[in-house]
Amino acid sequence: MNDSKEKSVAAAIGSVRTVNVSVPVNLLSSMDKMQNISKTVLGKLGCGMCHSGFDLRFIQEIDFSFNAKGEIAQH
Amino acid sequence: MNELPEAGVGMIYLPAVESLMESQLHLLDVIELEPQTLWYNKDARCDSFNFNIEQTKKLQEYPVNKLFHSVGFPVGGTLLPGVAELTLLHKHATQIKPFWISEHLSFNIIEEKGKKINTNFLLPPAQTKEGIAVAVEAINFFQSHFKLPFAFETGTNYLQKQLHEIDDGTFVAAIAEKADCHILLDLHNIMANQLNGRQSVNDFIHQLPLERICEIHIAGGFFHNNFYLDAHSGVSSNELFEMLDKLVNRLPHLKALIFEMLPEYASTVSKEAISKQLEKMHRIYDHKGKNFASVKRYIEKTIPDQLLPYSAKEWETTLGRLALEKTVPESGLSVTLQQDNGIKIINELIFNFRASMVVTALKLSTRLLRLSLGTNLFTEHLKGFFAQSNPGVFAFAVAEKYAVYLEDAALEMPYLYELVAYEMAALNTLIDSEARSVKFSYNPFPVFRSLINGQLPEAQSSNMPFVLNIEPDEQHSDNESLNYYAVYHN
Repeated sequence: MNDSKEKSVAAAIGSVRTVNVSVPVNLLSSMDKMQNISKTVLGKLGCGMCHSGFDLRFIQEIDFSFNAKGEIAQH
Repeated sequence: MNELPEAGVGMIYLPAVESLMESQLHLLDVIELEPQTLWYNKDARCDSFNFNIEQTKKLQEYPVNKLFHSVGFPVGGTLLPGVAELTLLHKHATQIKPFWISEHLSFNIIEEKGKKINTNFLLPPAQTKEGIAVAVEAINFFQSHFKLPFAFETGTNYLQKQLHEIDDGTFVAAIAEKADCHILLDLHNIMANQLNGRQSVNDFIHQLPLERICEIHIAGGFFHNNFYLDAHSGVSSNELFEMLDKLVNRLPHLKALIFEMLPEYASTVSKEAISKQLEKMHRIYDHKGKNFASVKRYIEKTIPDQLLPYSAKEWETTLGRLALEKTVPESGLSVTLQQDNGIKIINELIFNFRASMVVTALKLSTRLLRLSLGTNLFTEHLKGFFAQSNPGVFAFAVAEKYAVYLEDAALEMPYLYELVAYEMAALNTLIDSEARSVKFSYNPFPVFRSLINGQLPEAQSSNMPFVLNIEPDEQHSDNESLNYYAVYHN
């Protein structure tokens, strides 16, 4: 949500008891530029790719950089 | 063994690498689909699953050949997949019309108190005479559900060769001959096995019936904790390309050469590098079979006929339980395996796989937990969940179980439970396209924003309730969703 919309939501808070907001299902994806398509999310909801390698997503989440050569460096 | 059509050079298709793949279409003759990655499960408590119809329609329209590479029902174990799963796979295949279908020569299910448990990892089968018979039976069962040619894939094995094991190449050769099927040679897996102390690539290939190899997989990997990992992490090394170049010459029935890369690594590899990878593959593929000399390589007598101290079932149960960090009864096999450093790397890889599922499905809730608890405590917290919950196959079902685990934990953490409720509702709406509403006792937007930026949300001064009405995707065009504007109804 952009700044002007955040301000208008804030203004609405002052005039109503409950703020009702309609949001698209992929709201978080659209707010997060790193993963901006819902089909990507759907792909990740599916049956996991059972393989024998290194699933990087957890490492990425705990804020490490991990390049294609397997070098890990904490920010 | 049936003659196969020419599929050509291509890469694995996954929804998250779709745009990358589309940028390379001019270099692709074929795409290989991992069908189960397009399946979803609506409910952790039942087996009802289906495949994504919209995605399937799109795939049908790609002007390239298609192959199916099944990733959920490996053919190296004593426990066979359910008929419902194979029936859905067949239904999916009739939509996509792949040239052939392949599966892994591995196992990923063990039994505990009569219940089947998925290991979330492809484990090496019992490499014994009994193991050959087990794999042949599993292949026959798998094949009986399709009217498609079948190939099994040669796997990675992070364990050291056991005293009673048949050679890797001889084992593969015996299964292919007895099941009378094709071989999908994953050259990167075999190179990984060599680098990790198992049979050399040359010796492995020397033992194979080369005319049965219909497909080759190549990938990139890296060393981690003294193991070379089949990570699918980028373009292939020069070493692997040299091996490929020598081998392809000798394969008379090679019909596909496929590059594998996981989406998580896509951002670390340029499109130009992928193009070069595919161009090299084309150059090598063009001279396939030019130096083939027929040699009968597999000989029954090469398999040692000795009494084994363990059965295939015992192998699977012991290795599967150790892989999942469960207790095992003391035996010669369990002691040997526990001393093998390969078990530790398998434990680590499985933890990362399971943890990745959780943090991907419940991104904001888990980020709030990690930022609040710290990375070490958060990791321990996830281990606690994994210790009391068996691995799941579907990220959605795992998220559902994790939400219950969190609920039971009754953590005193601001924002957490409403955030979990919101993320679970959004996942449900993603799957069934039904609108849902979630109540918040706070303004969720600053919380979302902070967490997306990797920061703990600040305390809120007012407690104005919010209701987020989650609308399915089709009510918003792509453009709208990328430039989100809240619509609110007072």
